[in-house]
Amino acid sequence: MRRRPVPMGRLLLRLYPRRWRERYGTELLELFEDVGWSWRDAADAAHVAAAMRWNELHGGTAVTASAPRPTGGGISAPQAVFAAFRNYASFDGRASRAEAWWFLLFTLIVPIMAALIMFGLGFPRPLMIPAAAVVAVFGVAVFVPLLAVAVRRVHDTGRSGWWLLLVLIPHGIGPVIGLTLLALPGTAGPNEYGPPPEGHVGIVTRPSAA
Amino acid sequence: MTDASRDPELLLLVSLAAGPKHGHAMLLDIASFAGRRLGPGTLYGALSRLEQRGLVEAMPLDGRRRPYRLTRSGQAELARRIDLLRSAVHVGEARLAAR
Repeated sequence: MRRRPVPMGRLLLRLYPRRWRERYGTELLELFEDVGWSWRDAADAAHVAAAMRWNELHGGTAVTASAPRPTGGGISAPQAVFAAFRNYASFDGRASRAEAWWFLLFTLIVPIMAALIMFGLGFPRPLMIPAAAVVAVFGVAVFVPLLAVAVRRVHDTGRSGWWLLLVLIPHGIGPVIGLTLLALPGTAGPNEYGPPPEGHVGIVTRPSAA
Repeated sequence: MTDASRDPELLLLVSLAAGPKHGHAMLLDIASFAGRRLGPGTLYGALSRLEQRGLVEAMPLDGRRRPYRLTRSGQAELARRIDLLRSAVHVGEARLAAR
């Protein structure tokens, strides 16, 4: 009789790259069952998983299994940013979580870096205003694609883009709802807004099996 | 060996040199000769790297557990590592003694 993985195990496996998880996940959980669960071992596994993710992001040898696996799932950070700009004002279709969140991160990091450089590094005063103008232009430039990717992300969950108007609710409630909407998993198969985003974005070859 | 987690791959190669084992048996074996129990995450991370490099291979499931065994190139890799360690020991000892 198979035991169901405990919630901690399930959570822990989520940290691993998908292909690794599909090949070794059940074996790792069995081993955890054999030795008994501890926070120490969980932290160790989380650390290993983070290292794999890091290697994968930086083009190193992603730990992949020898067993053949269908491709699918995430796109890399640069791919997400390019995809968001390529679909600049496209409010139709669907966007994966990877695409939306990497792009959101990108739009946040650029002004934060700019502020750190301008105020942290003793930026020459006469250049302050032009630099601020560049950041402002960046903000305007990313606003439409950010809105578009958010709408496509909400489509991915099977909802109308108008749901995003909920972010206007005051007292911090709106943003929490907005971030939640962006974080909800997408519908597995096609929905009324189109096929799952992998095919739609045209970067990852096949929608995931299963 | 004080910090076994520094080179889990070497420890796995040594452990599997005695014959096929599943994860839990490897942990117990390594604990017995290296004096430290690896975390399951560290063990499986190293195991997957070794499998990817063709140094170990998975065997059919034995009940719930999957045993692994050393391949020929895994044996060669272990021999190579041991040679390196041996020369490091000799040279290191000689140089420390000469100080």
